[in-house]
Amino acid sequence: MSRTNRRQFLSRSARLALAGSAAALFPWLDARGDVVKVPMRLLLVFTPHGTVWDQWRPTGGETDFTFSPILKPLEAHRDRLVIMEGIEIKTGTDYYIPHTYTMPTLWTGSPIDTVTQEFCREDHGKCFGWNTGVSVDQFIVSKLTGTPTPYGSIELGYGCGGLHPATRMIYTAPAQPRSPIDDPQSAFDTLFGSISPNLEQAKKDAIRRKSVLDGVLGDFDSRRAKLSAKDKARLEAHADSIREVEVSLDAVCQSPPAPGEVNSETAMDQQSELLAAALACGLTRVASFQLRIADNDNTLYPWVGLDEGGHHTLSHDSNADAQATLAKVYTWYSARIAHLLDRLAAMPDADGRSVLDNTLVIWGSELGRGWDHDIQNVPFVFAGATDLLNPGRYLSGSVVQHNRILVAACHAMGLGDVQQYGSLDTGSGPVPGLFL
Amino acid sequence: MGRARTFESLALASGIAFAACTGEITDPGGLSPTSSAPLCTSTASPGAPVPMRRLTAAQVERTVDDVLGVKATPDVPDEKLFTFKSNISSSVDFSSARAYLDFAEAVVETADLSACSATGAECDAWLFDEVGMRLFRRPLYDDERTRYDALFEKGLAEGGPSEGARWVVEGMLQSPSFLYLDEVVGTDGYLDDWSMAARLSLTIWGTNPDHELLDKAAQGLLSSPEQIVAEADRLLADPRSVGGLTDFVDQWFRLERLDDADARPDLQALGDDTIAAMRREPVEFLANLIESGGDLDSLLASSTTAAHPELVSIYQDDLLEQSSSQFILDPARRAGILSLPGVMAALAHAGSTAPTLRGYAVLANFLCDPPNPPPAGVNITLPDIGEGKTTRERLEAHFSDPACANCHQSMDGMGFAFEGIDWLGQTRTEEFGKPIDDSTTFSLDDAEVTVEGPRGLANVLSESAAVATCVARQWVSYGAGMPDQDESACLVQRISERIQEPNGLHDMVRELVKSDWYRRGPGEQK
Repeated sequence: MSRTNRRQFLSRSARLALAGSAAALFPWLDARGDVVKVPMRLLLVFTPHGTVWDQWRPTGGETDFTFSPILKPLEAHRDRLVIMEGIEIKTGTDYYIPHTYTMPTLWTGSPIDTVTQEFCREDHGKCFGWNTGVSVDQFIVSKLTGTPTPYGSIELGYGCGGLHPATRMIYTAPAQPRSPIDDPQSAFDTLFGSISPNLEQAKKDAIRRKSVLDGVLGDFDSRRAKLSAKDKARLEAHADSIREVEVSLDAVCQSPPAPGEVNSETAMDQQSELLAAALACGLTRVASFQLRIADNDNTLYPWVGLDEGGHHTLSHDSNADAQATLAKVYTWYSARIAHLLDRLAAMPDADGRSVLDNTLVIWGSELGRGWDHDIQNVPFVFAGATDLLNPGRYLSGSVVQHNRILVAACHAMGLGDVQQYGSLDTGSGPVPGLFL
Repeated sequence: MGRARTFESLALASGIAFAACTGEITDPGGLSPTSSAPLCTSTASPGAPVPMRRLTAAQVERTVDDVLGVKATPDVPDEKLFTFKSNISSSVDFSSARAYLDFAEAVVETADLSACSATGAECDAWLFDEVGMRLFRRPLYDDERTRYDALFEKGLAEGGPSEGARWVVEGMLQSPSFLYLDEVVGTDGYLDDWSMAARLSLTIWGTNPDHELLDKAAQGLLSSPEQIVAEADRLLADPRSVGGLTDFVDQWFRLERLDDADARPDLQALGDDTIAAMRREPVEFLANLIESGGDLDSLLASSTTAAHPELVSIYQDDLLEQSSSQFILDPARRAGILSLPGVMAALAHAGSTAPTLRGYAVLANFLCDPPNPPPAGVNITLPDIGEGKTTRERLEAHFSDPACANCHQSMDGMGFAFEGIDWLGQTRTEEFGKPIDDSTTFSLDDAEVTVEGPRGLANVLSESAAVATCVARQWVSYGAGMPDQDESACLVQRISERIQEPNGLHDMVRELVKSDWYRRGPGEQK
């Protein structure tokens, strides 16, 4: 990874010229267009409320297993994935508000903030704040060396709701969630629609936006109110976000087709298309993908037969009929992940392989199963990363703390010195048996 | 999922808070530490320690409509830390910063910039005295003016005066001076007049101040409680008060659920106009009561509502009399804000009523005493009692399980009072051919009460001191932008007493805005 060519970005005018010819960015090509080495990428994926274990668990041994009904849609990717159970999430808190407390813990490996009393669940008689740790993807972004990408990270999703700890899993700092763009059209406009195909207009936009945003940044110094340290930090983070936008606006990519009409059944696949194109183009090395939220989300999935009640309600119902319908919802999730892997596998990378070959995908949830909110066994699936992953296996041995997965993500992204991740980590090293 | 129904499918709609049985037979019923109202003991009267607030998406939308005549919503999520949206915790991240940029560009693209077809006094006056002052809620500071003059000059050089105006307005719409309140506290500990103007306008109108309010701030006429109350009265009498009251009522009852197409295809089938009227009606119900001298009792029990032709087909025979502005409803069937179609439909599922959800809403919204959630692993499947049973019969069947009955008898019991109003908000007299039974018994303020229908429930609620306190707490929390605290207990007590008197709902607004909790700064910052 450290051997990445350090050539600077194309100049602005060269990139604007590229906009007209729809060429890709590929920041890791050298001056002649030859690939030195495509760096590894990381993609964290979330679906809500765990799974239905007897429909999820493969049968058979580590390598000769048979796919379960829920994971069946992933079978075509058998040789590229690792299915893992026995992963435990610890909350690190005396009290556990199901769903809510583990969402900020999933990728941070650190407990939710129970000292700050900002968000109140009066039915539990508890108040809490955001996260206490940084999510592993954002930690990795802060440590990456080599050619900077136009986006530090890209977060996409669908149905991700308002700002609340139960709806946010990515954190750049304590109390600083990073929201996914949860509408495909907005995601398309952000990632691929910043630069007008009209070269004259594109130049005008670039000049105007730079001046306007520089002016806006100046206004941050005009405040008169006495601010708390926390509010000062909020403003500084806002200004940083504007600077991040400024950098991202210059990125040029070959655009995938616009999403067109968006509905709940197809939106995730539309986002997958955009994400695959963004990774292929080199817009970022770190991404996440969030389907819905880790709280009382009573979305209906009528296309799989969930047409009353809603997902969260159903997940609490241990009745056999309810669990069967729930399994259909989870099977549908698997099909969405399979589609994502399909798109990543179909997307040619700069080294002639596929984007999936150079991306470690980690798919998890905020708990193991819905009806009793179990977090001692949370289902995980890993895919891609051909040079790293020891694939085609179903691992179900001893109980492993989920922080081991976060360490594995660090190792995959070149941070081999990291042996612990998150303040809840009581072990050491990456999850055993995952990598070659 | 076949015929299998669960407790929670009856109890829950999408959202954060939910209720169900604790399963603890010895549990007294779920009074949580935060749900017991703070007591008024302190003589100190500090200001609400509310952190720096960023405008909500709805406040930005209304302000831009007022100032630039453009209807657009920024695609930026709001924080909901408690019942009401208030952006006081997290930072604007990449996607929100980008959304503000896209919003600013889209708004300016359609805004009328003709005042700046040429440079000069007219353009300057529009940009800075009209747009800048209204967006920033005060005159521009000198350094801001210098910066925006320079931005204008750059745009002018690129594309003429209207291009200069475009750059300036795009910048203002993304500026922290617009997006965040900048609340300056004087040496006396009170907010300065510009900050008071902003608070008043955002609380009552849900939008930035108009010129009249800003003029008063400029003249120093927003300093005494009398001045502030007079201004609040003016704002309340203005049609724009529907904005702030929307933010209060809509979030209090979580009426956004009416527009959740994924969860409520049955409501979608009624059409956008009907849904919009259902969502607007509870807001206007409160607005009319404030205007007509209503009190808590009328909020809970009035059968007079705003006229909405779109709702005639929902009300049908419930509509006894109508004028151009008012509907008089049958008091035997409709009593109070809870019984309005929008509230009842939001507290239901697609194709079924939800007594648990409705009872929970009474406990959470009017008693500030939501029950605890069920313990993990409890079997929440309703017992199978065969086909053709009413919703009430199916729920009552699980009362035989003492683990459930403890909470649900009271929670569902309150909800049964509304069984005569279906999931679309229409009254009904039978279900599966059986007459609706909306007489019900539950415990309230540690006593067992029996009531009949919405009116019976309204009557006992309006007698409850806990209800007056809870409504006051909701209003104080909304107005301060943060949950009420021990230090606001005396204000809450004062409001809870006033709202039971004639003109009490109007006085609720006055008491808030003239209080130190509202007018003083947060004091020593952490």
